[in-house]
Amino acid sequence: MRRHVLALALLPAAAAGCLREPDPFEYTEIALSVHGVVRADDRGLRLTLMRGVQGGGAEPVDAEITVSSGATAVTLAPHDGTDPDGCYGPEYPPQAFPGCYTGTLPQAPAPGSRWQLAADVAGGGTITGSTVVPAPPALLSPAAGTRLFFRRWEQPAEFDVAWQTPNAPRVEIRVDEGVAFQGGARLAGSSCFVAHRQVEAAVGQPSGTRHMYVDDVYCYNGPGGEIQWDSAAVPVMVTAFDSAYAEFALHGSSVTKKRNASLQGAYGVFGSAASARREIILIPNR
Amino acid sequence: MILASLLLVLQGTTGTVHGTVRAHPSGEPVPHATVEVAALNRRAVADARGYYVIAGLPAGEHRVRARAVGHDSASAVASLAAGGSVRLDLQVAARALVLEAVEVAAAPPQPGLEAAGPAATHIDAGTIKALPAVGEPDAFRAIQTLPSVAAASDFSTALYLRGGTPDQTLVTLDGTPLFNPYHLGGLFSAIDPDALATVDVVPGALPARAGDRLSGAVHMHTRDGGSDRWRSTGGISLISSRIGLDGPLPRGMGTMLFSVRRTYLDAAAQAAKGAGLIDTGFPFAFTDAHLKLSSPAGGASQWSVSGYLNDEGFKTPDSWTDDENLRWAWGTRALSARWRRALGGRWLVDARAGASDFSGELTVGSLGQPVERPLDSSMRNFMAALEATRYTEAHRLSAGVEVNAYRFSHDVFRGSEGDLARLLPHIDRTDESNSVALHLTDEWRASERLSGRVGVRVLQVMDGATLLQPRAAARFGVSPELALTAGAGRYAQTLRSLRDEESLFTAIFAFDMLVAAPPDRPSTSEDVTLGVEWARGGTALRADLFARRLSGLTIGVPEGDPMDTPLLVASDSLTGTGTARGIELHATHRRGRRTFTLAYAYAEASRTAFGETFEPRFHRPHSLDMSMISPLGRRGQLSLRFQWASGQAFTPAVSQTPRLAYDPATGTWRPSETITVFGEHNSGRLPAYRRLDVSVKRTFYPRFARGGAITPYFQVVNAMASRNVLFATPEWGENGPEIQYGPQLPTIPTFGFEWTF
Repeated sequence: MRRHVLALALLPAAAAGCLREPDPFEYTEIALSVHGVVRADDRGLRLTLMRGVQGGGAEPVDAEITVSSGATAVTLAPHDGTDPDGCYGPEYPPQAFPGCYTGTLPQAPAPGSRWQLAADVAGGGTITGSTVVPAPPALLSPAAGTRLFFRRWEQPAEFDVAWQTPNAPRVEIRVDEGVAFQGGARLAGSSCFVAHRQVEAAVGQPSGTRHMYVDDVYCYNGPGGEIQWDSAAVPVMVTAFDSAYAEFALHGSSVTKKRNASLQGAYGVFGSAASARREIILIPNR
Repeated sequence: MILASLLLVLQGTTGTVHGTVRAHPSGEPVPHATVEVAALNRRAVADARGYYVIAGLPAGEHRVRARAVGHDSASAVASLAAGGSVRLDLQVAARALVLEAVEVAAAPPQPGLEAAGPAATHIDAGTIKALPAVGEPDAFRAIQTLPSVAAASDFSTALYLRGGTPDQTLVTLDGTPLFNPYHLGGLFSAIDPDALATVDVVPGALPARAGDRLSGAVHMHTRDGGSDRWRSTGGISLISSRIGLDGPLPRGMGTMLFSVRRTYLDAAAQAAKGAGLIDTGFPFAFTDAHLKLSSPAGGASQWSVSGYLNDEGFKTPDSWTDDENLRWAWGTRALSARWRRALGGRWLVDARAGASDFSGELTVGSLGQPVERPLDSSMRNFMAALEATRYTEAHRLSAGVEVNAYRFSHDVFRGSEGDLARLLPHIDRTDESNSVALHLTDEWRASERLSGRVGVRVLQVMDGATLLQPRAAARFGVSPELALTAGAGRYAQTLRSLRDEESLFTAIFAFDMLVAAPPDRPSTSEDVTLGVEWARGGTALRADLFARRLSGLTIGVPEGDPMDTPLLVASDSLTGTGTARGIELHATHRRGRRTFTLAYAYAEASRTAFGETFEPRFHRPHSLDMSMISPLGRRGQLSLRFQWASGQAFTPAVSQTPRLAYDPATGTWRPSETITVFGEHNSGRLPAYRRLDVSVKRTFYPRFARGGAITPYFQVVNAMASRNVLFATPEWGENGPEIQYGPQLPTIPTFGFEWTF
């Protein structure tokens, strides 16, 4: 997108000879990046720490990383696998995506608790951050088990999602991956994806309503390909984020030096989240 | 003071001369003419409708003289009884030749003649048409030559007044606020210069009667049309054609002005397609039109009704493709009515009502049936105003009420995903703002040298705040050639723009998307202006020092890269503050038939939000604008405009780092991109800007035109082929990181012709 805009802007001026030549420059800093989110409903901690290299890409960084809250402190260990406890999804090979650190908390973080990040980077440098875990949103609608009909790519299934949080600065609403049913029986191992995958973000709106719609649903059974199904149960998920993540999410493909109020010594995010889910039933009118 | 002045009037020892200055032979009102009784050293400046009042004259006979740019002066004798009033309409002969009218358009103002306080700047149609432009004469580009006004880029005619953004400037057409009067995304303003009588620009120290905006006002007044015969004006350029007709209505019912402009890009593309030169058409078109009906000249009351239409868009025919079509249309409409009645030269009652609308929609269809509407936006204003002005010997008291109702409905960028959703965020909101403003002003002449203006505007936002806005100004005539001015005021605005001015897109596209400010927290500003005005012979010089503070501004999160900055601020609940201060110099010098103009400004501007203070992207600390309008032979004209300005601010890149995207469903991350780390926001500066525009015209008087004139022109924008820079962005080049620059306008030659019959 960005390159297309650039090309579009440069073409006419280049043709007219009015385009200023590029000026070389040097990057003056080496940037570390941290990505970690503490989840209210999850004892698992996943955090990435890496260093950007010139021209793109990243390399791992050795560090001693501790996440703590009051008397609870967990030291994270390097993790090089892609199992469900890893930092990345299974589709990403660990060699290409380094810098994963994981750990397990004795119990899931409570809403309102403050968690601290402290990392001593090999070769010098420290990274600190803090986050206050938000309360899970109250999901006011849709009601559990709401049945919605849709005609594939002609008439979407439409519904309102209403939520309430005490003061979450950012709330994300999405319809996630679900499971297929045939004749009232759940199809084991099935996965249903909605199209298009709508993700709504409410910034500065702790409570509200979003109108959502699903154009189509595709259900698969692992490598077996598309399967026969007559309904799909998909979760509507509403996630409240803390202010650190809200700030991080507002940024696109650039950040500015000052923009890390809750994270010092690195770019990225050390934030927290709490989710609420509710299943709805999508039924195609064939 | 007000009571004392009323008592003085009741004594009835002096009289009043009042009337309208009109052009001969057309009978059209002449805006801002100077009217004087030289023997008594008494002067007045007519308003935009040509109406003047000189009160407090002793009984007897007085010779009253009127002078106006582009016209010969005229005088008449008024016989005034004690305590009486005389209506005296003065007719000044319009100079017939097109280029001669231009030649005197920049005649310097005399200090001390305007109302108390810093003077507004008046731009007439002759000046607008004389300046080189991008293809078409353009009122907004002419306004951008003033030192108080900045442009975000070559591509945008949006007006930035003294560190303010375009939404903070009230733009009216015949008294009705206009939304987005632009064509081609803002490359041209959508106002036909032939329809304009005057454009009045007030960049600060606004009087209490001025509408509710933070930074300034631009009032465009259309002509009434001639009352003696029908005339035609128009022009044909590479982009569009325009034609205007004006003349008397049947049976002396008044006058009419009609003008219409349309592009032929779509027709030309269709013809090229028909000839097999191109494969597909280019179904883009714009049209703008003005219609105005006015009461007969000379009546005790004046009324006018005017309508404006600006229609633009891409509209594919159903047959364009077999299975897909779209309609992307936007435009502005305005309707205004005005009634004025002068009561014996003592009172002037002015009533206005208007409605304006901007709507834009993108409908994607299939086989002629609408399927999706990803863009649907509308902004509406309904307004009514009533003002009564009382003229006494030394005072001009005015009181008025203005009611505004704004309706905003936006459902834009529905369905955008990924990067697009971030740059073009989905906004779905409907809101409204209703307000009543009461204003009271006393302008008085304390002595031969000193005049002052105090006023107050009380803005009541329905179900919201009440804002008291005191405003004051003064003018001290040090000598007949030199005047000192001062002005200050507080202002409020009940609407906000969702444009993120740090985005590259807003530097190119002028269109604004307005929403209502929270009723209990309207945006506010305060300003103070100190000025000096000097004129001698054909030279006039004006300098203004100003300072301004703004609060309640919608400001997006500062991103390093303007290409990566969203077009819109998704939530207007995140607000910040701003400041601006500087000095402006404006000089005009007329030597023979040549006019030279110099405008220089040094200004500082800042925005504070999210704990950061930075210079806004649109701002240029230094700007110099020089123009010359000179005769070229007996019937020709050469116009040059040279601009130099310091570069706009940009944010330098300092590093690179990976960015991951979070999936809350699984709690895992996925690689997203390598992002650039930028340093202090807008701490760097782009290369300086310079541009030379040239225009050459020659007027012919062919026999078939029966006294009319045809003026072909040739003009070149950016004649020096300056490599001006719109933005800078870091890219990874062959030898490492490099800053790539986005360009401003290249060299563009255009030609066309204009006529008057």
